[in-house]
Amino acid sequence: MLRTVTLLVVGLLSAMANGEDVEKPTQMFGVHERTIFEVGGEKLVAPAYVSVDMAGTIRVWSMFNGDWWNVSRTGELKDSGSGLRSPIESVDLRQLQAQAPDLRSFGGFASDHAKVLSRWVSDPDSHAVHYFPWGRERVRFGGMGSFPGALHTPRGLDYLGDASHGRVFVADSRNHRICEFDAFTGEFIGMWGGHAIRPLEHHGKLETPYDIAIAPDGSFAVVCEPWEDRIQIFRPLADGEEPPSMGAVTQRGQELAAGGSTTHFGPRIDAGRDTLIVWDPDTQRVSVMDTRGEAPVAVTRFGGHAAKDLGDIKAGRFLRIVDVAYDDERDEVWVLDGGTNRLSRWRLERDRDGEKKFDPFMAKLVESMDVPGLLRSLDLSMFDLDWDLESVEGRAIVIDGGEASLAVGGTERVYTLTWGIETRKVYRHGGANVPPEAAYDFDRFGGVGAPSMSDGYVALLRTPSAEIISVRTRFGLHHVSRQKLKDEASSVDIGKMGMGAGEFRYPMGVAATDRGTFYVVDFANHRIQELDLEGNMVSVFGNRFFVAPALDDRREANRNED
Amino acid sequence: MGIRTIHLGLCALLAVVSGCDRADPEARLVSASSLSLADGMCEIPEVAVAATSGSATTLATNISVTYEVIAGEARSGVVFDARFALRDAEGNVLGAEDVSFDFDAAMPQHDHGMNSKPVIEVSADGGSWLVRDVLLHMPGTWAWYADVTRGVRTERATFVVDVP
Repeated sequence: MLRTVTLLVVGLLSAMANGEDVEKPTQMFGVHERTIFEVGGEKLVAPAYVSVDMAGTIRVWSMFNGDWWNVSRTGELKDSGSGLRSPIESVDLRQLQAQAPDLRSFGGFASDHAKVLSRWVSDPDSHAVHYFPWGRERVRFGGMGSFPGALHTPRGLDYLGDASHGRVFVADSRNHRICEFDAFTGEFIGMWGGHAIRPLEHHGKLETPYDIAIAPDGSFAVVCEPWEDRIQIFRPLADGEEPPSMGAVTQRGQELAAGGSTTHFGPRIDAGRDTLIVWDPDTQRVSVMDTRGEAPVAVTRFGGHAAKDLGDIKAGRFLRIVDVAYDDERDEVWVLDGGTNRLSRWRLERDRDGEKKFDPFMAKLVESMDVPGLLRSLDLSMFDLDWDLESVEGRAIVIDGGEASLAVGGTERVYTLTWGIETRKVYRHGGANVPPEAAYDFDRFGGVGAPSMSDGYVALLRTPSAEIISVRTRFGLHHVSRQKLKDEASSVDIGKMGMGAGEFRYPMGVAATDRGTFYVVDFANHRIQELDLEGNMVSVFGNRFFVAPALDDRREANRNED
Repeated sequence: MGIRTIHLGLCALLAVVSGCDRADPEARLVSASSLSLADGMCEIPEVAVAATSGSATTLATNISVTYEVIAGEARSGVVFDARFALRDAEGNVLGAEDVSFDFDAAMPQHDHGMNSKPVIEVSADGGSWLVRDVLLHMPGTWAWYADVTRGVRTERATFVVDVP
């Protein structure tokens, strides 16, 4: 550190002595040029990764199925196909972690043009960018926050420069902006974008940008927003041109004061007879909603982001929630965290029949367990396990019969790890020694841990006539399917893509009530809808603009706009 | 500030008049819970009293956690140290050989924790933990979290503490 400071001071004094001006680099990009929703008459579906080749051709990959499109800067389709690996799939995270043990996860990758001298890797869990210079010590910059220079869940990034000078551009996804840094020192240079508060709002505003690519000649930048099904093109600032104002949209309170809504919901939820459990991926807080009235009311929240405590993560905090489950009988909430690989149980100390009121002290942490450690403590030799015991990614929690199960989805089998206070059992579904209740779980939750383009999440709903109905979100198809249990012929689709009542954009988690209705996380519309089996909206909360007339003309906004 | 001072002064005066032996400044080192109405005539406004000791139980296996402030005061802006001791449900002392211990504090209604990080040390005999340099920077209701870890499981005792 001292050496670095000394070098900087010496460099500064040297430059001054030579009469050179020491100028701070200025922001380079930020002017919105174009939004592209479709290419060649085909809609872009969840574009999540992007690159630009030397000829200026943009290649975009879908998040879901390996579809890709080659697109010009002006939006003309050059070519398309399916099955190509996206660029980030070639990166070996464990090899990088050998050099940087605090690298917790992998969000994006960039290299200099020589492809060997320098590499930059974003880490969504620690909210940082790691710079790996060839033959020298790693440099880390960023850190969680919303202030200039801080990052929140950084993902894709790209480098522009030569072997010794350049800048790195980071898709600062949960701050809904692009940040520019000096690639070699990590010095913050500028930021652009800003939160698209309303669904489908664009013209330079961003909603959870996932990746960025800079044309090698620096003439334009491309930003992917998978949940908005679009890419946006930005151009550099002209000489003397001021960066477009980001307004007051970088702070949550200011957004709300400006008449907006920043509500985001995590993809999975759960419900009981009078309770709905949701969580906020921005803050990693779990909210408990009382559902006895016409619309759910928050009665407590707990958790919070652990990133500020990296290196000393407290038991009651989360890095990246994977799933939540609610034990109606015990009035307890289970939370599975993929960032810490921990499963925690929280008891709600309340009078469920009493007055609805917010109590920040209601949820008490009962226990928090290290899942890989728990798995290692079990004798799993009787099972032919084909999943990574060191990670809870892709897992789900199931509450059944008063016990929590960790369900692992796969194409052929679903495993559950079940335990109570003293009991620990492992079931493998689909074999001779499978207990009936586990087989029941397989039917009930099959595929829940491995959602695909069309298969989403499942809930079972009991109608007033005691009929069991399976409700499954089809998030890639933007609707919900319901059917009688084990009766595919009875399947009926509910809803369509849109922003109105009973319409969806990427519906995800689903949870049944005991009123014959169900909740759906309408993910890209930033809201949760309660629907009856006919698809009628019973209640809604989250984004306040869900039926705003001003947005009616945006429902069909899947067209390109300059 | 003024009202609090008046309350303290008035209470001290009443305590002297009524013969309460907790009217001296050292009374603040007595457990807040022991200053209840049932214990005598000394009614001190709760917000003016810094907590000095307390106990809570974990919800998973009923580990009893007790704390005692041993240096400074649990007031906003005042650095203090506290000693934490643990017993299992059968009353056996749990020491550093049995479990590990962690401490945290937060104001849930304000969505924030502490601005500084306390130092946690095992006592010389290994039978308790010293949490040093705790600084609660804001008056109000705090949650103190005592986290006890055995193997892969961490369980928590929560203290809800009014900090003057």
